[in-house]
Formats: sequence, C-alpha cells, structure tokens
Amino acid sequence: MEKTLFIQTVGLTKKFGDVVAVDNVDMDVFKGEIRGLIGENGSGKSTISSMISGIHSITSGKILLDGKEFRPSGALDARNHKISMIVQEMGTIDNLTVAENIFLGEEGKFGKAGFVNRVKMNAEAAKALAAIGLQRIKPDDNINAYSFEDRKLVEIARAVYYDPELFIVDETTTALSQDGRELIHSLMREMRDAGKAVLFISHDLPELMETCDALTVLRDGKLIATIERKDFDEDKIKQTMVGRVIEGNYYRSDYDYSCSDEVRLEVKDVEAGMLKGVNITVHAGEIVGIGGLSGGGMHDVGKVMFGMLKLKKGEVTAYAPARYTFKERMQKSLSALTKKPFDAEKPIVPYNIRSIKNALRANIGYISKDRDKETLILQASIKDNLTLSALDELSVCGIITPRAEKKFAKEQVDGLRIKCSSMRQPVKELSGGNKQKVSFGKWIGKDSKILVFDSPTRGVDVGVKTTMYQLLYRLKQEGYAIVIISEELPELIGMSDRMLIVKDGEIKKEFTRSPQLKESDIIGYMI
Amino acid sequence: MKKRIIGIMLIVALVVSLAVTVAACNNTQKTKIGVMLYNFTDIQGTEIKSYCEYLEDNFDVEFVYEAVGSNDEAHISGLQNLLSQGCNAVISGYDTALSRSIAMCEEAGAYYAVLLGEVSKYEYLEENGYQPTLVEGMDSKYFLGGVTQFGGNPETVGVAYAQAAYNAGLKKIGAISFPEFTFKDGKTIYDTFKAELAKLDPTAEVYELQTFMYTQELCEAEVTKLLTNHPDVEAVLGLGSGLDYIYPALQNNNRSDVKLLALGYNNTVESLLSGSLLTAGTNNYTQCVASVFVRIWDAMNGKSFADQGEDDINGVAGYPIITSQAELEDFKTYIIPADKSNGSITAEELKNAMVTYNENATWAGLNELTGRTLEEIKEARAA
Amino acid sequence: MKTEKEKRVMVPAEAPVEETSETPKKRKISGADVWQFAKSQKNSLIRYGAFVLVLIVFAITTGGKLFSTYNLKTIVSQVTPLLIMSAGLIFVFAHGGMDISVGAVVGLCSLLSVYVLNDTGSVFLVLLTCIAVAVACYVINGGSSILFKIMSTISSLAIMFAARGIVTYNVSRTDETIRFTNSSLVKMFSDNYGFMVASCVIIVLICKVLFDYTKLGKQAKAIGDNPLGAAQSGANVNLIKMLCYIVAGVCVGIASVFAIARVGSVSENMGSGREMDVLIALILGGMSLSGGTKSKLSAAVIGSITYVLLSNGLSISGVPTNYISLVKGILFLVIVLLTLRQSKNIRELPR
Repeated sequence: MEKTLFIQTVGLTKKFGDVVAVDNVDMDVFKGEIRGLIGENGSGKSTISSMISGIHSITSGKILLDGKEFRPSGALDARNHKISMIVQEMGTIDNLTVAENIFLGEEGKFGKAGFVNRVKMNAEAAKALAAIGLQRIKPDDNINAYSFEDRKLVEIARAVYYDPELFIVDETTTALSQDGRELIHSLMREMRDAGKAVLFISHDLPELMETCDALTVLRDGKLIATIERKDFDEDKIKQTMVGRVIEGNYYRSDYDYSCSDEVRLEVKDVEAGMLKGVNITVHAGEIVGIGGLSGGGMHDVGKVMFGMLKLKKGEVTAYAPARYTFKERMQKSLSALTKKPFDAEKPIVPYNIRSIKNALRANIGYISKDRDKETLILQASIKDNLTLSALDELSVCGIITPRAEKKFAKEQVDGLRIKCSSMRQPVKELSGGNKQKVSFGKWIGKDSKILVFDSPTRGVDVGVKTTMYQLLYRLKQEGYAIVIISEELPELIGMSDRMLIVKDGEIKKEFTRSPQLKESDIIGYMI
Repeated sequence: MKKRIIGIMLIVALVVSLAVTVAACNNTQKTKIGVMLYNFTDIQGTEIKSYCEYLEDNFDVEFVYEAVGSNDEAHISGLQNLLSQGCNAVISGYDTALSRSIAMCEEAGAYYAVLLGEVSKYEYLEENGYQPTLVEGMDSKYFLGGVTQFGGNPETVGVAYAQAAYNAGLKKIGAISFPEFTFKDGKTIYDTFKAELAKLDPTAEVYELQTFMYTQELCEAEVTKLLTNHPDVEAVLGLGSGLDYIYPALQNNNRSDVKLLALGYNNTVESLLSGSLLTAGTNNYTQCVASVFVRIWDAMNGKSFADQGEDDINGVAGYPIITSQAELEDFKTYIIPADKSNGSITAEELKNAMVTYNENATWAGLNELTGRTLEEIKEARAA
Repeated sequence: MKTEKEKRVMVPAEAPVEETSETPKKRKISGADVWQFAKSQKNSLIRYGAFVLVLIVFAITTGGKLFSTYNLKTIVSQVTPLLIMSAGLIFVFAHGGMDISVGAVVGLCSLLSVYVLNDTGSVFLVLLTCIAVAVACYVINGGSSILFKIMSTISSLAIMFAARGIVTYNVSRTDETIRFTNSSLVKMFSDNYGFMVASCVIIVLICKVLFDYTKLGKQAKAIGDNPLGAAQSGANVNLIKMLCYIVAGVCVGIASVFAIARVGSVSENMGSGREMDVLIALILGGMSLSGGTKSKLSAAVIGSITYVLLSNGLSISGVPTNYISLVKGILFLVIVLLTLRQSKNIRELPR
C-alpha cells in the first residue's frame, strides 16, 4: 500500500520548567492509518498529542503538516487545520446545552444580527449526533443531564462533525463501556478507510493491538520504537515499554517491608466518589503505594483519607495524639514566652475523618495531585506557604511573630534545600520540584505523622525526585505512616512496602515489597 | 515598558499643568469668599458664578468655588477646604450640616450664609412641647441667614400656574414633586394651584401629589404610575424639576402629547415653549447672591441694618415665571444676561442697599431690591 | 525538646544530585543590584512614591498652606473616619470579598447615634450602638453571602439598600433636621485632634497585629488567593470570612462616630459615597481589590492619606472646580497603571 506522509515531527521537545516531558521526538504519521501511542504514565504520549492539537505550546523542534511547518496558536487553530482531539478529562462545559457544547466557539455560524439561531443550531447538532448513531441524545438538553460516558460521546460527535483529517483520541476509551468503545473503534476505522489519520492513545494494550496499524512506543519522553502491525507481539511491546534502566540507588535499596503494628490510618468498607467497598490499613513506619489508571478511582483514595469526599458508606479513622486542652495550650504559650520547654505526652486516640477539619485535627498531611490549585497558594511567598498550615503551632497567645515564622520557614527551606532567591519569593516562580518541596515542608514542619501524597513527583525533575525518595524513606524510618498515590509504577515498586492496585473503584490486587516484583506483573491488573 | 512611559508622561503632564494653574492665580490680599454648590455647570451654577465674577469686577473681592457632594461629610470636607484657603466668608447653597458648619466658621472667624433656601433659627420638637427651641449655633454672629425663595410667597407661583392651566383649558392634571421633607414649598404651590384652579374652573381635576427622590429612575417610575392610573391625563404640574426629570420621563413613555407646567429652567425652554411646555420658572440667582453678598459685605465692614429683627434672618429672592415667548425674551435680557450690569441688580443698586456705602440703607429696602419681579426689573432698567 | 526540633527538619542524608548552583556567591553591590532591588520593591516604591509626590507637589502649589495648622487639623479630621473604615474593610477585601454597603451603614449608625445621644447624653452608649449596629450589618452581609453562596457584592448591595432605606425613611418622617441637640457632648470626636490621631494609631496598630501576626489575617489573605488551598491547609474558610466581616463592622462602627460627630446632623445622604472613597483609598494604597497575600495594611493608611491629600490639596491650591475631577482621574489612573499590573508569565503545567 502506498503511504503518504501526513504529519511529521522533527526534534519535537516540550519542557515544563526544568522537566523534559517530550525529548527530541521524530515521528511520522501517515494518511490512512491508525497510529497507537503507548507508554507509561508520564512517558509523553499526552504531551505530544497536546502539542499537535494546540493545547500546549512547543518548546523546540517543529511539526510539519503535509510538509509545511505548523505551529498551532490554540485548540481552535488546530481545529481549523482539521485536527480534532478528544481529551482524557472532561471536555464538555457544565450548564450549557448539548448543542451549545458541540458548537462552542462556533456560535457565529448560526448568528444573525448578533443572535444565535437556536433552531438551526439544534438541527445541526442533531445531525452531528446522528452521524455517529447517538439519536438518543437531545441537542437542547442541558449537558449536566448526561452521564460522563454520554458526555464523552458528545465530545466525539463534536470532533467528528468538523470532519478532521487527523483525529486524536487520548485515553478516552477507559471511560467508556463496551458499546462506547466499539462505537469509537468503528469510527476510527471509518476514518482510516477514508484516508485520514488517527492517533490513538491508550493503556489498553490488547485494544491497541486490535485497532492500530502501527504502534509507537514512548518512554521518558523519547521515542523508543515504532512497530508495524505485522510485528505486533504483546510481550515484546511490554518489554519495550518498561525497558527502563534504573540508575544507582534511585529508589530505596532495602526490601524489608516490616513495620510497626500500630495502625495510623484505617479506611473501612468505604463507598465514596468512584470507590466501592475499599479497605486500607496504614501502619506507623509503612509506605503504602496506591497505583492504577488515573480514571480508575486511585485519586479518590487520597481524597477520602483527607476527608474531602462525602462518605456514602463506611468510615475512615485516623489514630493520632489527642489534642491539647485549652489549659495545655495556655501553658504552651506561657512556656514559649518564658523560653522553657514544654512537653505534654498525649495518648493516641482515634479520629473519625469526615471533613478536612477532622483530618487536620488528626494531623494528616495531604498533597493534592493538583498541587498548584489545591495545596499551594501560588501568589504567596514561600514563607507564607510553609507556615500556613502550622499557624496554630507557631502562635503564642494567638500572635504569630515574624521571627517564629522565619525560623520555621528557614528550617524547611534549608532542610529540604528549596532553591529560591529568598523566602519572600512567590511560590509561583519556583520550578515544579521546588514547589513540591514546599508542599512537603508544609506538612513535615507541622509534624504531621500521617502523610497522604497524591502524585508526589508529578512535574518534578530527576534530581528532586531522588531527594524526595530519600526523604520519604527517612520519614518511614521515623515512624511516619505514608500513602503514595502515583500513576508511575516504577516509583511505587521502588518505594512502597505494600502496593494496592485500584481499578474501577475497587482494590484489585495487593503486592508486598519484593525484589522480584516487575512492572509487567502489575500492568495486567491495571488494564 | 510602554505603560511605564505613559505613566511617567502623565505625571510630568500633571505637574506641569498644576504648576501652570497655580502660577496663573496669584495670591492677593483681597477679601475671599467661598461658594459651595453641587456643581457649577448647570444653569444655576453658571449663573451664580457669573454674578460672582461681576461682583469681583466691582468690589475688592475674590470668589473661590468648591463643588461638593450631596452628603453631609462631603459638605463639611468642602467647607474645611475653603476655610483652609483662608476664606473670610463662605456661601453654601444648602443648609446641610448647618450647626456644624456654623461652628466651624466661627472657629475660623469666617461668615457663613445659605444661598438657596430659608433657614429657621428655632425648631419645634415634640419633646419640648413644640415650644421654639434655638437650634445650636444659629445665634452666632458669624451666621448671616438664608434666602427665602419664591419672593417669600410660593402661593403666587401656584396662582400663576393655575391661571396658565386655565388659559390652556386643561381639565385633567397630575402633579409630581420632590418629597415634602426636602421641598416644602412644592406642597404649598400644589395646594394653591389646586385651590385656585377649582375657583377658575370647577370641572377641572387635579390628581393627588406624587413624589420621588432625586433620581431619573424614580422619577420615571412616578410618571409611569401617573400615566397608568390616569391614561387620559392632559398635563403634569412638574414641581420636582419639570425640565430635568419629568420632561425626559414623559418622552420615554412616548407621551409628548401631555402638557407640562414646569418649575425649573434650562436651555431647552426656548424650543419646548412652542410645544408641550406651558410654563417654566426659576429662582432669580442674581437676587439670591446679591442678598447674601450685601449681608456679608456689611458684616465684614462691621455694619448692620438697624431695622433687621433678631429672628429675621432670611433675605428674599424672586421667582420669575415664563409663560410665553415674549416673557422668555425678557427673562433672557434681564434675568440671565451675559453682562450682569444689564441684569437684575447692578453694582450701583447693590452699593446703595449696603450700610457700608449708604447709611440710610434698610433691611426692608434690601428685600425689596432682591425681591423684584421681572416686570419691576424691566422698569428699573428702562429708567 | 531538642530532639523534637531535629525531627522536624528532614535533611536528606546523601543527595546524589548536588544542587550547588543555588548558593549565590557574595558580590559587591553594583548598579544592577540596586536596579534589581528597586524592581523587586516596585510596588512599595510606587505606593510611597505616589504619596510623597502628592505631598511635595501640593506643598509647592499651595505655597505651604498645606501645612498650616488649620489645614493639618482639616486633614486629620478628614482622614480619621476614612482611615478607620479602610483599615477594617481591608479584611473583607483581603479575603476576596467586596463591600459597597459601608456608606449606608455609616448613615444608619449616624442616625442611631443622634437618637441615642439626644435621649441619653452618653457618648459611650453612642459608641456601643454604632459598633453593635455596624457589626450586625456586616454579620448579615457576610453571613448571607457565605450561607447562600451569593457574591459578596450582591449581599452588600442588599444591606446598602436596607440601611439607606431606614435612614431615608426616618429623615423623611420629620420636617426638622435630625441633629445633635447638644453637640458639645461629642466634642472629643469632632474637635479633639489629638484624640483622632491617637484613635487612628491605636486602631491601625490593632489591625496590623490582626492582619499580619495572627491566624485570622494570614488565613484571610490565603483565602483571597486560593480558597481551596487555604482550606486544605487548615483554614476554616467560612469562620475566617465571618470574623473578617466582624472586624470590618467594629471599625466601621467606630468610624461612624467620628463621621457623625464631624457633621452633627443626618440627612438622607449621610455617608453616601463612602464605599467609593474606601475603594479608591485602598487602590491608591496599592491594594489589589481581588485580595490575597499581597494585601498590606499600609495600603489603607497610605491610601486614605493620599486620597484626602488629593482632594484637599487640589482644592486649596486653587485648581478650578471643573478640572479637579479630571486631575484626580489622571492621578488615579497613573497610580493604578503602575501598581496593579498583572504579570503575563503564567507557566504551563503538564496535563
């Protein structure tokens, strides 16, 4: 078969701050093929497709479209060049109708003297939905009335409506039922047969092998290999995917998974968010890793532990020292004033975690996956960020002196080696790794003995990663109870004492720390 | 970078313009009188300012102007700013925060007078059994009183407007004014208008008085209410600034067929008078300023009227009414001329009314001078 | 105790990747350093710069009259209520709230002050009433915005209409002006300039401590930047917001006593326009009205004084009334352009 080159990337590179997400990738995509992109989380699949579809800017290198250089200014620009992408996350906007979502940004087409002709728009939307066999979805309904899956299908209808030359599907199928998957597969085949190109990103290797004409394997932002359909071999592909060389003592080197018997955090039969009947126990001095696919509910585990999700069933209990009484607080203030030591040994008591407030009382520290939006105050200084969660500990008779703050912050800045020009520097100016160090410092300084870290090394460069792994190991030895939620399997294998794989809101498998544990053993339980 | 340059340029422009303005107004040792009004841009403000400038030409006096907001604090701030400039007297348009204003002037040794409206030395409070109680500060020698509007006789306006309505053969008339507590004369005019019209034409009907608080939206609401309740209304007695508020509200309701009997004056009168406008009228601002200025000038020269009673603290200003093009012409010639020496009161007449220049001058004489009607002014100018 | 401290600092034992470049070597101070410093302190420089500029320009243009004893008193009496209000309301703005009811609340407090003083003759009761009423207004204001999750602008708009309505109704009920029958009772608040300055200093100091050295202020500012982040760091967002409103209420209450004492009588417009004065003062002081950790109490102090100096200075330097608004407008624009510019460098994050 004669193949015509459609999209070509030359030395395509993307950096997020200091972190290289896509490293010098030369990839050729041809017309009339379905190209699969596969690789671990963070291997750069989504970033490449995001650059092609104009969501991310290009750091260096170029994209050639039909031989001409193409530098999309945004998603709309890409769409005008007949490139449509369906993203992993929710791509529809709440509180608009289905039709409005389909023609978002294109309302002008139905405009008449500044007004949108709704009848015409709805009719056109109905056509778009019918084109992919979705007659049951009504164009004038509010999008909120539909399930996540239906909303994804609406996105697909939108993408197909614009009759793209390049159709990018980014891990969409994980959210879809069998019917939905089949629908999207047949769509992709139709497009291929019409001489168009499809980029298909998925974790589901069998699905990829069934649908794609060629597979490109990425690892650590680099293009490792492109495999033709005739050479497809599941084991070989898996090997190519995880063929990582682990350098030096990147992770902890011991395989001792023993820990104290003292339970610090207990999740009992919890039903909340995507979770269905989840049981987890975390002990003092234990690192529990939670793995899975990002749509499978692993992140909800962290949220439940920090009291952020409403529990439909079950309960979350933390075991932490009892709080100081009012009298003891006064004594503490007094001793701070007189510079005498104050120590009141408090018994460990259970705390029922139903809200963030409860979690903070039990002294649980949590770093969200969306660190920049939820854990840090980007505009605020490093000092303010570090001290914000420890204000109670720092205050003497309700007053927090700048001196105490500075001392506290300096300890963390020095201890964690946070790279900054001064403690007054706004956190938003820091690199990803240093931002994450600030998040760590917030909780460590506050003396939180239970730490829940969601994607702790997301957007963090290798050097800082190493520092963090060592820090986590050190904390474990100090008797902290640590939960790491991560999409990166090597990290979980390398760091955790126990690993729980979450899929479809349930814990599918538990692994104990062992030198024999391999990614390929685990992947099967994830997908 | 661009913004920074713009910023610096603006600062430079500001400094230069300030320096120029200040260099232009050299300080002299003239008597300084401050004038406080809500604005100096409408007909009232420009006329008052224009007469003050005429006074500057004929007396050794300098006027400074301060636009103040309508709230009490802004009034006091404006007064403080004027006193800080070294004013020897302050003329305020309104009786806002009166007691405090007088106290502050007394402290600064400056005279204080109210330009637009009368003031009462006593109040009649329930807790004092409605006995006259002296309002704090009103007996200060630095307080020179106010000015009674409508020539001291708002009834004449009511009678004149009733005559105009009768002449036009109007039968169904609505009335809109400001609330009574802010504009007491409005009610008086309405009452006399109604009574007089009943005498002239018993079949004519005057609807109840509606009021609103000083905003275009509230006025519009009242006008709409009137038009809804009485769709066949033929005219509106517009006491609450007929031209500024009620005329636009009628226009917005597409009722240009409704005639308007308006209090107030602005430059649209000329064109409207041939249409739906039957009457217009306004304070004689020259007379207001003259009445107050005479008192200030005499007080500063240590003179006072022998015949002025202790509690007789309000001067008088007339209220010329326009009902025809001819009257409008006279109004323009004698009430609001560009050259004030042809206007209501000349500097000569003014000096003649002051004890400082004329030992025989009397309080009654001053009130007669400042209360002259359009006819009387016309005669005086012709003489 | 010592071991406790050590535990808190987690030094990674042997970090293989050395981050040496971070320690800047000591250098001689060069011109570039000074420029860098000036750049980093740009906002403070501009804020104080604007203030000093206004001061110098007017000192010259008024021929020194700006500093005459009488005018200094004038400035003090004009600054006092505005400063106290701004110092309180900065708590509301810092946490991302918005208030436009302050003028009407001042009006309501003033009205009740007159009634209370005329009936009881007790200044203390007047002060108490004002604080109670203002706090009540702000509790309703903040409470309804938190409870029903409506924008604080809207809830404060409701309070504004209600309070202004009560004032207008009461003023319209009588022909007589509502005024202090014996204003000498509140002389302390109207003529005692030392007392005014002292009150300002004390209130600003208290607010400074609350704003910068307590949990309340620190969490309020964090909420202004990122409510979600603040909540996950332990801030009880609703409680903190409520407390901010209460602080604002107390300050507005105290400020109303100064305001009413200064004018002695209440008209239906009493206090109106104050909401704008406060906004402008805070902006002139370099405050970003969206709040956040960059908020500084000095914005209220510098801003209030600059604002009063602007009106007072322009007026007594003899700038014609017709130009005063224009000049004010230009100055305002300049300061806002220089202080409130947002940086465009928003970094991309991986999805």
